[in-house]
Amino acid sequence: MKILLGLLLSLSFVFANEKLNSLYDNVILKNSKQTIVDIQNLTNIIKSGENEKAKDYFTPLVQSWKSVEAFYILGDLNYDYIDIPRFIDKYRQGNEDIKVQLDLVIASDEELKTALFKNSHKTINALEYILFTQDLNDERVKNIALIITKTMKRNLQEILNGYIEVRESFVSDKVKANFAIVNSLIESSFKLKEWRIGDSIGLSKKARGKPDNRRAEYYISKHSTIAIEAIIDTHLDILDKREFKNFGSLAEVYKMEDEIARAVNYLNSAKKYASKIENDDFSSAKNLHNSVKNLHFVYYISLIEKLNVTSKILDADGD
Amino acid sequence: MEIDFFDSFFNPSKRVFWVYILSSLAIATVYLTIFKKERRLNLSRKLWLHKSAVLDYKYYVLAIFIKAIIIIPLVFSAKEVTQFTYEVLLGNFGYIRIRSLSYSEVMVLFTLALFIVSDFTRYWLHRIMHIVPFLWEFHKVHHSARVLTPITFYRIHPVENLLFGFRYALSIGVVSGVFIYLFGAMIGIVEILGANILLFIFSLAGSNLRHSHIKIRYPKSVESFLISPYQHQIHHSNKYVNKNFGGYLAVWDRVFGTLIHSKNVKKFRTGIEVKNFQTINQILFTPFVKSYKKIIGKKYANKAQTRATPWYRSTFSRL
Repeated sequence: MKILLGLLLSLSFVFANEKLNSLYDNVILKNSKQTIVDIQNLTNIIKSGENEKAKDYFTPLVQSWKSVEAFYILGDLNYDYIDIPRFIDKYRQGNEDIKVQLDLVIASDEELKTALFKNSHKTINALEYILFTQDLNDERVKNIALIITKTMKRNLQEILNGYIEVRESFVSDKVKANFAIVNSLIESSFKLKEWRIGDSIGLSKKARGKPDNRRAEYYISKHSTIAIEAIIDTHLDILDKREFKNFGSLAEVYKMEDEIARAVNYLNSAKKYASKIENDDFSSAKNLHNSVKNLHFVYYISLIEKLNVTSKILDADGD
Repeated sequence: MEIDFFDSFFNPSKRVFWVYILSSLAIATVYLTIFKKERRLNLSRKLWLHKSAVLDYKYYVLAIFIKAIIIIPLVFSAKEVTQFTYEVLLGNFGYIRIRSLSYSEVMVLFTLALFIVSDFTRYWLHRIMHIVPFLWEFHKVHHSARVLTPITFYRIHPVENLLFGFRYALSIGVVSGVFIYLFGAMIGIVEILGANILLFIFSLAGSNLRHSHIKIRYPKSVESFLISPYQHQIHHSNKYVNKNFGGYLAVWDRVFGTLIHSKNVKKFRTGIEVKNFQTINQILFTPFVKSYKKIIGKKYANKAQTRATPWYRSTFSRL
């Protein structure tokens, strides 16, 4: 009996490991590798000075980067990597107006290495401003764009290397892996609801009752909805049925079939509502906000249920 | 609804879990081997088959039904409080995730926080049950036991059960909500056999002897931090009923001035208003009658006083 139990336990462990492996390779590593490809493609176009083509090549970069950012667990697996996304993306960090600063850099004669001294000058947000408001045929503008893509590529490569480095520990420490996955889903769904949608439609704490599309993440390039869709797709890659095994395939092992089915349901409806948004006009995105709000709710309620900490206390009688 | 009479004996989160009973028996055996004089009382039929003890056994069975049918459905769950706490924190302070602590460190912190907060609220609710005249009528049920056995722990009026249920849900729920807000999925309890390690240790160390006549005392310095079984037995006396309200920790009694050490009390008699609580009916209904009389009596007393003292007299007499 003991042998049979041991065999069953080890089998379920191998089963879970196989799924974590698959999730890591097919979502985390795949998306990280894709960002390197996308930034390289964009760099090549910038070099050629083709303004419109560069704008087109910005789209896949936003999509792959948002996929990496939405499921960024590297900081949980190795604390040294916690801040790298901040070097790539300055959305909702600080109050500085990089547009004004970049205009000054473009107008000045200062050497670019010195002029672009801030991290925020070399983020995807700075790149968006350059690509969608400036002319790449201007040598100084082109060089600014190339410095940004070079810095971004270095940081994206660091993320990929980091993921390759911690792969073994992710798969072997199943408990830590699960914490990291669940935490990233909760964090990402909160930011999606509160920042990326709530701020624009005036339903966030910060912007309650004051809707303004200019608060959208990529308002200049009108890529905000594309970013939202990329985040939703990443959550679906983690939870929904795919050709590869993922966290959703572990539903049966963790007895979470209902919770995952509900989350997938909200993700699908969010995707449907996001696809109806045109030109980043969030004025009719209340349904999208509701779906993501419910998604966040399902995530943390499932967490409270599964942690089951409240039943491990000595009984509630008197004394 | 499933009712399991023996759940308390097989659930490590319950005071009378068989392992804790066995450990208390072992401690009692050692005690009685050393203090032979105590054997006569502690091994006598008179104690274990005393009218008061037999009433405790009967009431224990009835209390299982009362809890399952009336109390549990009325008390909101700790999970609901956890969810409410999480939402309030998230809504007011935004998203926060502390990543600088390891899983083990968070587990230790969470286990300690649950234990300390739970013990603190237990102290205060227990004390309030003594201070507020209306509630004291209900808590008197517990103090009416003429002899103490481990089952006396469950000689609690349903109203008190209800209040302790709310206390449990609030204290455990708030602590869990704060920890989930700060650490997300990365929380857990350090446990043995599925019970909080601290409660397991204290229960193993003879919690069941608190309701017994085994006079185990700790050195004075220890009794200033931890409540010994004898200190709780003193609390069941007529004379020192307003001392030693603590559950596991004595620090609350020490800080709020209600601590009495074992060495200061040599002899005492247990049981308050024993005659009023000799049947299950009396246990269940006497507190309602007496507290009603107390409230009505007070109301009439106040009215009588108002009539006897005209407003001008009471006002001008102060001048």
